[in-house]
Amino acid sequence: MKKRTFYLIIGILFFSLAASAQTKEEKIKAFFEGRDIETPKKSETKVDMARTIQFENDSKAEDIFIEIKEKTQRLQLVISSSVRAGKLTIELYDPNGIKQGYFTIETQLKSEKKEQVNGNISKSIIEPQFGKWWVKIIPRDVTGDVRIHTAIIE
Amino acid sequence: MSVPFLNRFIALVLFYFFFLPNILWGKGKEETQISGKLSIDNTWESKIYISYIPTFDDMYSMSNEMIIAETGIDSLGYFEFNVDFLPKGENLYRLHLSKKRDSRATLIIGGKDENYLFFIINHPSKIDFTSLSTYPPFKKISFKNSRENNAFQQISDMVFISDSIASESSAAKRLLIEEQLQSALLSIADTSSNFLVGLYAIYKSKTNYHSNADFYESFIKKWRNEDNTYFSSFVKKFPKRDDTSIVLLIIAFTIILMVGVFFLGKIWLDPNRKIKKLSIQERKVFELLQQGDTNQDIANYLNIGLSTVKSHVSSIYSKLNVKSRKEITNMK
Repeated sequence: MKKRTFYLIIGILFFSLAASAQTKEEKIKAFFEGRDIETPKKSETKVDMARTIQFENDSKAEDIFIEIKEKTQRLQLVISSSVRAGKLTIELYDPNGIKQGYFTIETQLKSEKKEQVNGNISKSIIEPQFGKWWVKIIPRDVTGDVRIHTAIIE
Repeated sequence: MSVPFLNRFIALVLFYFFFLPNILWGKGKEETQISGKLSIDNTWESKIYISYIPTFDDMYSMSNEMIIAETGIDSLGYFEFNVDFLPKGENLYRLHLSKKRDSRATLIIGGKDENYLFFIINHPSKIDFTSLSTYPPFKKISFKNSRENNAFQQISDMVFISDSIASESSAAKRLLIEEQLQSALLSIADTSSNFLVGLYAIYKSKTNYHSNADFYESFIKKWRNEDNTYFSSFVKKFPKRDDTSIVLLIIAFTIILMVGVFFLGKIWLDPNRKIKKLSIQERKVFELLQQGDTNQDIANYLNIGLSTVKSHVSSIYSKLNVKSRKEITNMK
């Protein structure tokens, strides 16, 4: 009887460990795939926002602000850019002014061929710092577009 | 022609035309080979690219110009570059893949599709690595016989794991994780025997010069003999020590001092300086004294009383700090 109880406990432990590992695996997979790990509960709201900025031989810098309220559960941010001419730098800053990510993409100006250069950055943050996050877009003679997709779960 | 002679002749021909050139040039040829195995699926192009990264500030820059070589990936995920044209010495490079829908010059930062791997290679040499991850394709990497690149990878993994945990943690916990990560990265930078590994750790940490000035100064001092673009671009970012301005300040002060001393000396040594202290009437008396006139002669000449002349003479003695008429006569 004691032996059976012992094996039962070992069995339960094994299955719970396997289940927890699977959950962890699923979480990591979901993180990479940009899916929500926790679907918003009934009391939560998810605000999706997508905007596209197009440039036509443009050199005017733009700041895009993302307002994060206090007690925001999660911020998901995906910035995709595609440049057919010029040089484009994208920088992401948190409300403290700390750079959280950046990239620069550039085409060969002297190239006569059809050319396209792409740069993407994605961030997913739980309990992001409240305040104004901002995306700084610095184009130099850019023809192309920047797409910013934000998902805020409050 | 005898058979042994023919054999010797053939052997000589072979030696001169095949083996000797091989010995002279073949063995000495310096090769650089980059090979590896990836575990990618069919959403990726079966091509892999190498970009030369001239400074650490260009790690996240992408252009077709940066791509220096491309090669195919076979159905089992193997690829191989022969890149003998790489610049000599140790440099930073980036391998990347592109999705089938994207152009070859595509950089994806973060998420499951993160598509790049940084590595260093000291031309001429060979590196080989294996990736065990499908998403992202450049994770779980192990390099064969490359301590530097395994250290590089260790840094990338540390940042990746910390970021992954931090993104799933509360703000307070995230702060702790970030602090721990920074401390670990600075420790690697401090102790690494490879300059590029140390610099990579610094660039991956979110520290800045102002919050860690001592650390940065000590790192710069340790690697001051590095003569490459990585070091120069790193040093350029920091405020220059005010040695130059201090030297300039000392030079300016010395010049001002010298000019001051010159003018003061000139004034001090001016023979007329003391005479300028005399009043108009005293100067007239002084001139007559220099000519050797007596008090009475002066009184007569200037049509003033003898006592007045005596008073002027006394005043002249005092102002010129002289004690006799002879001294006045000797003054030029």
